[in-house]
Amino acid sequence: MNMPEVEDGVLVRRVRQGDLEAYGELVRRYQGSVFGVCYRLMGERQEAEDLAQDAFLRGYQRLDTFDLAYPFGPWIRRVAANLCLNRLQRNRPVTVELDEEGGWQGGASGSSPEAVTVRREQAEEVRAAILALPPVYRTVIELRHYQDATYDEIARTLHLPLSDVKSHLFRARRMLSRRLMDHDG
Amino acid sequence: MTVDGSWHLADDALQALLDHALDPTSEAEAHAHLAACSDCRHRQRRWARLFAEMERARLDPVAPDIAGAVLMQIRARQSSTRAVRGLLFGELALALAAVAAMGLGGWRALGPLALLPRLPDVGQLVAQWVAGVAALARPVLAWPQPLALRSSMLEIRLPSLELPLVGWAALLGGALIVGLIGNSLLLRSEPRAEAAGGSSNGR
Repeated sequence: MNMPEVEDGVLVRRVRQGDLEAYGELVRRYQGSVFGVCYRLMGERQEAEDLAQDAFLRGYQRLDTFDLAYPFGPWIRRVAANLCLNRLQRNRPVTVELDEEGGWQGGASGSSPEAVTVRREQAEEVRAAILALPPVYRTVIELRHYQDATYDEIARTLHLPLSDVKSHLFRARRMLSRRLMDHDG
Repeated sequence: MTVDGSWHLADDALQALLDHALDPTSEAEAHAHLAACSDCRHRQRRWARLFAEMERARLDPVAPDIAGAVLMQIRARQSSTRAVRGLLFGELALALAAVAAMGLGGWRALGPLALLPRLPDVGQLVAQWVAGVAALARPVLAWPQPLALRSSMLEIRLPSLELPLVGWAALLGGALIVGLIGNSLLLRSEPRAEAAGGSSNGR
């Protein structure tokens, strides 16, 4: 069922009244960005897909805590980031390589093939460097740079003091800077 | 604003400036300092370049369609929850029936109802059936008695578990009710708050 004209808040209200198809529409709207969060944090497609599903299941269970005054997208993406961080802290060694079988979309329009290739490689290098960060650093980078969360929002999402968020971000960027920029001037 | 000993902007302040996380006064001071300090401008450009590199890596991967799988899992969980609830209500009904049957049987035997004419009584039938099962099970239930350990040095005798039939019924009913309450609490509980970030979305 397609409900392109219906606002997220209306869909959330329908879900709360028992309309499961409305939740399906929310999943379809945000599965790309939620999967993106999981993939950037985990670096592996299958695990990212599993965690994206878990995030939507968790979102469904906790939908009564969602405040309709705010957009649904950032909320469900932060649920996903938190799940990924928990998984990373629980049982995963640091992953450096990205599984690229599924490919990436966008970012290549209007450039020569060589330029596209170079840009893709540079982006690849950045993503690999982010994946090499410790889990909590990786997550604060994801939330700040790719989810546009403020320091306060990151602190609330990860249950960290604001000072920890600032120091994690600072150290994460310093590590990225050393890795990405020192060797190319 | 954090400024190090040589009156340059510290790196964390430069990052906060790029994050637009400084208060207006500090931000104005930072801009004024950057206008006058080439060293800080150089470091600021390095951080800005890193931010730009990360922005270029923002591209989302090609995502699979997971909507169907998510809805299927939600439906499966809902139906299994309903099934378990049905089972629990069945347990409760069984427990209550057992206790009621035993109580009715005892009352009929000892109370004023014993004087009334006997009609077909399901409760009594159940009570007789439970009594029969209990009689069969009695040797098993009294297992501790023959399990005394003997030796020349010491003797250990385990306590007897013998209870009157009504006691066993009450014990059984109570255990079922406790199990029922425990299971329903488990059903209502959720896994550890992994997605606690999702519990509140206020900004």
